[in-house]
Amino acid sequence: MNASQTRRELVQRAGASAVAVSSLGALLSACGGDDEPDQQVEGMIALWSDLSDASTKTFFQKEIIAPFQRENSGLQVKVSFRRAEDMQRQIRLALQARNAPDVIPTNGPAFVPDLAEADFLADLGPYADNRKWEAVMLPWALDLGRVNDTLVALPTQLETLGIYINRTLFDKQGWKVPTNRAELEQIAKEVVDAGMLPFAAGSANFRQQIEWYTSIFFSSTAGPTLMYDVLTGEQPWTSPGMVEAISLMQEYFRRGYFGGSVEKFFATGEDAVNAQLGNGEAAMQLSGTWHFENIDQFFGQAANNDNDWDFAAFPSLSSDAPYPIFPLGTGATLSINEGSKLKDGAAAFLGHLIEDKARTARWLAARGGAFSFPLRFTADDFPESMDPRQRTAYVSLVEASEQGNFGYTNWSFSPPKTAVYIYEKVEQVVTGDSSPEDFLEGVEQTFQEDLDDGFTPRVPNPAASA
Amino acid sequence: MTQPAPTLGEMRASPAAQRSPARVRRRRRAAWRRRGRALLFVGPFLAVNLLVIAGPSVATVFYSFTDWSGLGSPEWVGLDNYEQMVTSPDFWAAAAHNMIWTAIFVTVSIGLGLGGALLLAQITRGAIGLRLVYFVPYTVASVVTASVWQNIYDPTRGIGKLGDLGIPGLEDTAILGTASTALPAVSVINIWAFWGFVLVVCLAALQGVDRSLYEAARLEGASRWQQVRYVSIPGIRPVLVFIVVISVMFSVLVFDYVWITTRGGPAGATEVVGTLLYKEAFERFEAGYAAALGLSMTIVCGFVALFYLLLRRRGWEV
Repeated sequence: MNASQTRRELVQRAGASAVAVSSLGALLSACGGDDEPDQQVEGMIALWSDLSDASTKTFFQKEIIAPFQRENSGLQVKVSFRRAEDMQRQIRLALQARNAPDVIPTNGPAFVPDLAEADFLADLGPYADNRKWEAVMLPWALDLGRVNDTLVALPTQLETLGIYINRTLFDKQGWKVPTNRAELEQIAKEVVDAGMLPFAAGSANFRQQIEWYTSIFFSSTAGPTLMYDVLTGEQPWTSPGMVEAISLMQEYFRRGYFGGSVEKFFATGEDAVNAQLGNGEAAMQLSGTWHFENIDQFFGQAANNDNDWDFAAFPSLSSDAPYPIFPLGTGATLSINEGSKLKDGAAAFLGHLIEDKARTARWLAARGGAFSFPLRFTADDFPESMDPRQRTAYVSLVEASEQGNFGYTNWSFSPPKTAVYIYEKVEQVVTGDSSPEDFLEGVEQTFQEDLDDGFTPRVPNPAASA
Repeated sequence: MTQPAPTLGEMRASPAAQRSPARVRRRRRAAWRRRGRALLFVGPFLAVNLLVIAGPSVATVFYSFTDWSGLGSPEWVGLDNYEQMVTSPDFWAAAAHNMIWTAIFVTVSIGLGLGGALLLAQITRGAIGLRLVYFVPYTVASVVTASVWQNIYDPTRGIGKLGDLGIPGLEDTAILGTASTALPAVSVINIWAFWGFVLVVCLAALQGVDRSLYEAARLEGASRWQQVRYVSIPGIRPVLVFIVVISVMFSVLVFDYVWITTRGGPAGATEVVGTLLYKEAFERFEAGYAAALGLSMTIVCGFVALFYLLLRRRGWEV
């Protein structure tokens, strides 16, 4: 969740700030950093958001912002919606121009370190301590918001990757959800023999999504232990387990498991991919929990078919990776602008998003992945009305993260340059223009640069969790 | 025969008049007033120009010599970015794609535009309507054009669907997903949008060619092709050269169609310097290096413009 600001809003903010300044005593108290500073803050908190779906925007305004404003008299939240693909660039320009909103959104932890290095992000540590965020947030998620031991960002999405299946098709064909490599390859063969696609897949609308595949293959082939060692620099990216993961991914692409062929994968758009799974042209689809938000559009009455869907963990592809494994991820963070005059108000808003676990669980149940804050959820937190498939997925993910059965998503745990290198260059492996070994050699070199820069995120240790 | 009376200008230019101190002062004052008035008219535009063009240009030159993420203070690194650029395989691959793009874009769009103009020049009935039809794609926003063509190329809904319907040669066609076809396919989109502009400009130029030259050529027994070769093309050569120059510049700077349709993929097959620059600046946050890439594009365009000016200086009718 994020937000934006136009020139008109700047003027409004100036007016709001004037109101705030008139309440000098309150502001001084607010800047003092006492235990309950935000209760006396007044003003307009500017927020940018990349929410695009109209009903989700309305939900955000009515169910999240309006209650906050009711509970915090004197504080208003002004949201400006931006295109997701532009927002990261715009927020950096706004920060550099000292025109950024009070609450700073990013596309994930990889984007946080250089904002923090440039002193644009406020220290959230005192707020986290005062408001007891550690008690509600999953520890690995909170750690992803730390740069050089200082908490500067609040991860706001709880994500994992898995497979969506056409449940109706599976039942009709008598297929079971694959849990290991042999079962996956057997089902893929049967699906192809039946004239269908094993996986609906295509990256034409979002090329970066190929990192979903690297994340899932690293996690399900190399396994959590080796990945942890690699991400912490203990083992090189060129380790045999990592080479095996990318080799297998290359092989599956060559076999046409994903979208029918490498060429079709690169040329097929998101709508076509979703429709293929919904209408039964494909048996499975690799995607993330964010897809819960709109998966229903492609099944049943909404899509003029009689099909239904289900969600499961990706099969284990080697003995190093137990089943089920859920790659941990968070694709967005929120920070407080160091230059904001409403830091306490902004912190109150961040607190509003996460401190009441039951309320946050209701948001998640209502809107799928759009408001999936990484909290210590249990099954009891979610309302009865929640889709049981979603509830199972989130509860399994939280449990996996506590038991060490997790992998790592590229966008959350790879350092910034490494993350970009992986999704940019792995395409050449898929097309056969580069070997897995050469690709991983390049990843290793880039990773060393990130290590030198000191921009590596905190990586949760699966052994410690277990 | 009587001598004609001196004109006012001659009187003013006489040595005696020029030496008069009062007249010199008046002339100086008038000159200052003229300059002042001119500055009043030019000043605002000059200020805007300095602000939005000269300022960022100078800043880009400066940043190209720095290590800068786009945030905070840049660090001076001298020629490091340029060294990185000339030793980067990604840069040379992108530059090669720009050259291929230029070759396709310049030849096809000018060939189509000129050919269409020569044919349309023969038509009188409905000529304006046809011109409008051909020009319309040029006025459509690139994001719309690119999205439409993306659907045309789509393997499940566009051309690929025709293969499913039994049209031979189109089975399993994924034009934008195939490395060998993606770059030409994207350039076709740009050509589709641009060639109508070339057509209209060439047509306007053709209508300025002296009709008597065609009559003379016909009387000499020139064929239709000979008339085109020896009358039409030489007659519109300045326009053609100008179109070539701007087409080359557009090709060097190409970004939007590639970014919208393929983002430089698959596997870098359509990466051009423009998309590489964008990725360096806004994905890898290497703004200093991106500035160096941008400056290299500017220098190439500068050389193209310089070549054009040199041709004119040497008396070429271009």
